[in-house]
Amino acid sequence: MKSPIVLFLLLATHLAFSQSILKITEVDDAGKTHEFKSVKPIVDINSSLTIKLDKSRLLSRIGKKYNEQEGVDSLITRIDSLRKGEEAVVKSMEAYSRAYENFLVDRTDETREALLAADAKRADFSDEIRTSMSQSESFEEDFGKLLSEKMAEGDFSTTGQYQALVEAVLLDLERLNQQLEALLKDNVTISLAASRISNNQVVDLNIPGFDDNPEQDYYEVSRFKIALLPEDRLRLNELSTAYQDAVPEELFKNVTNSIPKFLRSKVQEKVVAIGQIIDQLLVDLGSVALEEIQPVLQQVTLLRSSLNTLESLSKQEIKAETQLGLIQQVDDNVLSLTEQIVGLSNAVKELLKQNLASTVLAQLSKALNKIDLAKTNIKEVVTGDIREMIKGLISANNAALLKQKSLEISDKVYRLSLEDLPEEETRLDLKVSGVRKSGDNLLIRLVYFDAAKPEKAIPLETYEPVLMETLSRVHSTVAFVFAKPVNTNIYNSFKGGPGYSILLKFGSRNRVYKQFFDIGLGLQVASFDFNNDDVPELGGGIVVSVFKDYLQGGWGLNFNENMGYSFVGLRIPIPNGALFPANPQGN
Amino acid sequence: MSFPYQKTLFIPSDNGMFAQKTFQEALEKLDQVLLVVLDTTSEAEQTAILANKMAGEMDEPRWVIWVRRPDQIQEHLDQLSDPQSLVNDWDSVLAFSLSRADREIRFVIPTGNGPATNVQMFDAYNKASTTQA
Repeated sequence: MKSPIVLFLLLATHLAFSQSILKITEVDDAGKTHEFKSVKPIVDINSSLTIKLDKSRLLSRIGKKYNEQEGVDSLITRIDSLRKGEEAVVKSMEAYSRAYENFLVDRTDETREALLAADAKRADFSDEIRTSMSQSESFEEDFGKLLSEKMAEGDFSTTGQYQALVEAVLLDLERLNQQLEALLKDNVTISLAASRISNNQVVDLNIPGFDDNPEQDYYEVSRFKIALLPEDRLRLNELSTAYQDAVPEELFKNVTNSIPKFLRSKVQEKVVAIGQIIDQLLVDLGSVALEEIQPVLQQVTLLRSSLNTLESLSKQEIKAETQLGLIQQVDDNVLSLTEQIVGLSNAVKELLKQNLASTVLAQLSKALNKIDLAKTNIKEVVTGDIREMIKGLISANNAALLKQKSLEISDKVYRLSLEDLPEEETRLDLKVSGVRKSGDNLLIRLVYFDAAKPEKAIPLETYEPVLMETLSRVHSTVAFVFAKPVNTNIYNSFKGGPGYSILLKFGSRNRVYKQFFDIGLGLQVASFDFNNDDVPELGGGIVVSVFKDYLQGGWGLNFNENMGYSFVGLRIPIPNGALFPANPQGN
Repeated sequence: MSFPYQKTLFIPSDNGMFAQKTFQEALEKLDQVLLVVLDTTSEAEQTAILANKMAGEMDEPRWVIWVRRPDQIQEHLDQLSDPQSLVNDWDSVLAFSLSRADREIRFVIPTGNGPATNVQMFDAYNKASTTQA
């Protein structure tokens, strides 16, 4: 049987308070638990979340807003001090338990010294809290009773005694919290809400006990997706068709240059167009010698400088290792440029309302038309193909929506009084949160409403977990594959064709790994026409994929020709039209 | 803890010299926090049993010394370091705790209130375990 001291280590986490009001624990499909340790943790897409609200911390946090109310401030000070003391004792107890366990395993002078040091530290923290508890009337009685109970249970370890001390402090904390609750109960109501955000769509989720939202459809993201998804099937068909129409000798060049081409042709074209508009604006507005125009002119100058940055980015040679970073930069710049153009448009509209000379107004009106033209141009970039490509490479950017939604609490979310808050933990099951995909965000927010201003939600805690497939899984993917036969001199040129892979993806909760590398290992089937008889042969082999399957490579066997080949596959998230431009011969 | 005096050192009461020697050696060689119980009264006996229980498991650094005839070691008691002046009269002391490293008196349980309570015993051990008085 384990010593009570060692057993304490297992219980310590239950005794310890976490720093946050909400204690959220994820339980994944493999049965493992993961406590939220940041506000933006990675969460498995099929997990369920248990949410426990620490009322004591909630009261302290809210109480600080009402510290002018009589009695509140002194109660909070006392509660905070006791809680800190209690936490310190619990931590020192954990350290003592570890030191004791080490000493039992390895009885050396070193481990004994460590045990004595841990004992002294535990005593120091406990002495502090004992002194502080002299203020409490019922503490001595509670502590004595709890000590007797421990010994009656047969626990004579010193750890049992310190546990009794902690429990007595917690009893006192509970009493203080009840007093604080009585003082605050008429001031506030509390809401806890959860939403899922996917592709800028918001779905409100049900947290039992906290809202009236319906459960969404049951949906489990399969860890074994061998069959192709409809979009993958479509992609495979498109690739096959496009390949048939492509000019073979241009194929490799087309594919490898597709991303820079896209950037050049789409972004640069628009950037140049906007640049011309802006340059003209600078000339036009510069000729109007009016003080009112100056701020607008400054904005236009700034816009020109932003355009220059974007222009240079779109011209940069793209290397594989900087590809994602560069695309992210382009995305950020395009979005900021959009904001600048909208800001400029608003500023000119404001000027038009002023009582200016008619010639100036005419000039401004002309300028506004030009700005609107620039707006149309940038909109095409933001919503067009380039944006699709960016979204494919970097995870969906829900940041703006997350920010906006963080304080929106729908009518279906209850506003609970302090006494109606559920004591038990509640559970948010992602499997009943509807159809979702990797990269979606959850938004869990705890807010309170002041009775004097009940329309305004005041944030207490907000979590923005990112959903990902964190467990190992098997899935299939389609890529465009270039293969070259090995050990033969007969067919020595690269052949292209669509390939289908079944990949084992390794489990991980590392954000960078999941976002960028996401290595897979598996089997691939592809068809190539190695012998140039216009009839594709069937090949199969072993494949390794990296960068979320965008790059694949491996070795295969052409079954018809009984010939080995090595291959490289690319899964590029841009439309096939970019990969396979119209045949220059028109056939 | 099945045996009531498993972590208790009894100072012999039938030989004064031997008692002094044993007590002195205990102070020097027991590298533990010590809880010293004085006398053979019923309250002393119950206090010694409680002290033994609350000394924790065998390998925990706490030990009990039961001096059944304090008069035999009076000289040694008087020489103990008492920086907080907790002891005015040894006759009114039922038990006291001594720190491990510097052997200071850290907590005193007085006579006349019955056997020590478990809260007093906790405090006695805890005070003696702290780094400073």
